[in-house]
Amino acid sequence: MTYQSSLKRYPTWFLLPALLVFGALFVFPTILSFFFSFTDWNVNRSVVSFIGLENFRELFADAKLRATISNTLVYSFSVTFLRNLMGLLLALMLNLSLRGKNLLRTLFFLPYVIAPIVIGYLFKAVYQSQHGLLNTLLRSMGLAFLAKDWLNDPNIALFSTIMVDVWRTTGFTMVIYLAGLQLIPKELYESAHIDGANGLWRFFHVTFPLLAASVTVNVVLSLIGTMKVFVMIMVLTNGGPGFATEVLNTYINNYAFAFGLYGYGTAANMILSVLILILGVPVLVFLRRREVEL
Amino acid sequence: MKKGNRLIVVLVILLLIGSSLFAQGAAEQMKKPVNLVFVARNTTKPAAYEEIFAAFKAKTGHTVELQLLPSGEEYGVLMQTRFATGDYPDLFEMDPGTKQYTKFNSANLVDLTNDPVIWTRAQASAKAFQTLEGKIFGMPWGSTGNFGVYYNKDVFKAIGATEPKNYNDLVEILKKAKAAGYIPVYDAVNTQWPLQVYSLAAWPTYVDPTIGVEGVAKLDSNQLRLNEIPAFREVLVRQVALRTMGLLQNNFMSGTYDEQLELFGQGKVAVLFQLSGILNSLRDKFGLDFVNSKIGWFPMPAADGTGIATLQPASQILIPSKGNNVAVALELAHFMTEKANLDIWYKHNPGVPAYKDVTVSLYAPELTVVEYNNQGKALVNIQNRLQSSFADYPKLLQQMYIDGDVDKVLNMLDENYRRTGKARVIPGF
Repeated sequence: MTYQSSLKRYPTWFLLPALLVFGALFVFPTILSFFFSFTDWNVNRSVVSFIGLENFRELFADAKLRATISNTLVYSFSVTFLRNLMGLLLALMLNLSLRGKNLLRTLFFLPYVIAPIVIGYLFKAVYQSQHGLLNTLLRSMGLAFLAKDWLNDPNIALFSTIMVDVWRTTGFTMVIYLAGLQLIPKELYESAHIDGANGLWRFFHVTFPLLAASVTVNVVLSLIGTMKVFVMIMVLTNGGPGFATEVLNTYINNYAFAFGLYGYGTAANMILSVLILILGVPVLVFLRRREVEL
Repeated sequence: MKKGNRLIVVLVILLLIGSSLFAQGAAEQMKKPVNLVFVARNTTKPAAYEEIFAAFKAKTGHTVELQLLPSGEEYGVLMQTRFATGDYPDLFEMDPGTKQYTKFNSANLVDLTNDPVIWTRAQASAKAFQTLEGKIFGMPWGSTGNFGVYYNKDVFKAIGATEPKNYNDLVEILKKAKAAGYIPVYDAVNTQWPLQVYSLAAWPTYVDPTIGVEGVAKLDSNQLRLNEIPAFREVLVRQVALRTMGLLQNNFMSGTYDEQLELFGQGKVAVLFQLSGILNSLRDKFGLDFVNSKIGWFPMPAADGTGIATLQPASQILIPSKGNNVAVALELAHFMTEKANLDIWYKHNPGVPAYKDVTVSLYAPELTVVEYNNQGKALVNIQNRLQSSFADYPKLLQQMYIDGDVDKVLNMLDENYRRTGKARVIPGF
């Protein structure tokens, strides 16, 4: 072995421990779950048998799954859109020379460091229909007609959970956009200003195109993260009322762990993975291409 | 003595000393106090268990750790998972019925068929209910409960109502209560599980007479489907009608069990579709006198009569045969069935006892249930007569309250029922 070739291989040895951990804790279980999705594995059986596509046939015949997929998509797209919009607006505001902007940045980021389960319980109390903070506030402001049963009205329960997640994660999105904003050279704004560009023009022709990389990161992370939402829904509504807020992960949890149908649950999990892949990859490719074009 | 013989003698002596030391150690091990793990549902009030376990410790030196796990469908799965991973508790509480023997595989449970202690103390009916092909693996525990209609006597008096003679009569009473400013029915839709009570209490009155014992047997072996029983569909239609007639509380989707108790106790609610377990909670909140003098009970009324009572058999205690302390666990089981300890249990949890010669004072509404039973007008809850489960039933009923689509809910319930049957490898599924 020549010195040159051993030098080439040298970094691989450093990768090995991480690869081993990744393989054991992620790749291997993923392959296993792919295998188990074709079996009748459940808490009542000591022997696991291969049943082909039976789990998938049952899954696609389940009306509840269709509602669940629809809820997951609505949740994911809504949170992704709203947290990006809010995050960008906050970042733009906090990128200005404001007094106390560092304090504000910390305050806006704070919800992100609190565990989702804690936030879930907190908002369960905030949303409580009779004595909750939100309705009490609305009533005290003479807006009693806006007071709702936020988590138990099937028409608005999903919206209520979406807003909690937006509140929790906007700070994180804001930080990514802030980092992107600070990388934009000031000269570009100055020359745009000399050219007579107003604020809106500057935003659409200078700021937004140069934030493309931050948009990619925020949108892709948010899309994937929200498709996998579990804790927030579990704590706030447990998928209810009825199936109004049932998402794929609560559906999987219910069948796999409440009913002990592990094979069926892993099959549903495969559907979630495929869905993330189908949505995530094209979005990533599109946004990357857009980055190059801009 | 030859050198070889000497060696043999020395080895024999060493063996004798060793085995005597081992026997002594084993005996000491037997006497050494152990810590038993007893698992129960978190809906169980721990006071009675704690008192009994303290008495057990005082008598034997053995301690008992009470673990309370989430109740409902999840409880059974958690216990099955513990079995699957070899994490056996020493004893655990379980829903009544022999279907649990299949669920936990009777080979993993201590056979109590010929137990010299338990069966001399248990009621014959409790023993019969736990017997499957001559074998018993579960020790009956607790009381026979019931599902039905609980009403506030003061409210009925105020609106000039008496116990209904048929279902239409009940609806008229509810309308009258509404007109007088009372909440006719409080349904804990948000809590979910109480939603099942209406249809399960209605099953013996409406469904059993139409499908008979054969129908139940067919349902149990997947020869009859839940969505093929018109009488069951009608029950659900009637349940939805309560909502459409405006006979539920205004904010019924956010109705909780706690608020249900509170408003019922305050005399703001006319009737509740509930389990007998509510009586203990009402006693704790409003006192024994309130339960005995202000609460009445009747079964789900039939279209042309007073209906049939729904009974919930006493729970059972199972002992895993692969547990670490099987002998001590059995000793605790025997101890729990001693009169003094049963008296402790029924002092905290009054109800129709699964054991003979115990001191228990039944709540007044329960005396009515006993009367129905004595007249042969009572049947066991359908869920305890079937091996599969009505999985996800509360959530499905919640959905039914939202969109009023009874057929959708029936089809989904049927799907879940057959899926669970198949998973449990029940013949016919």
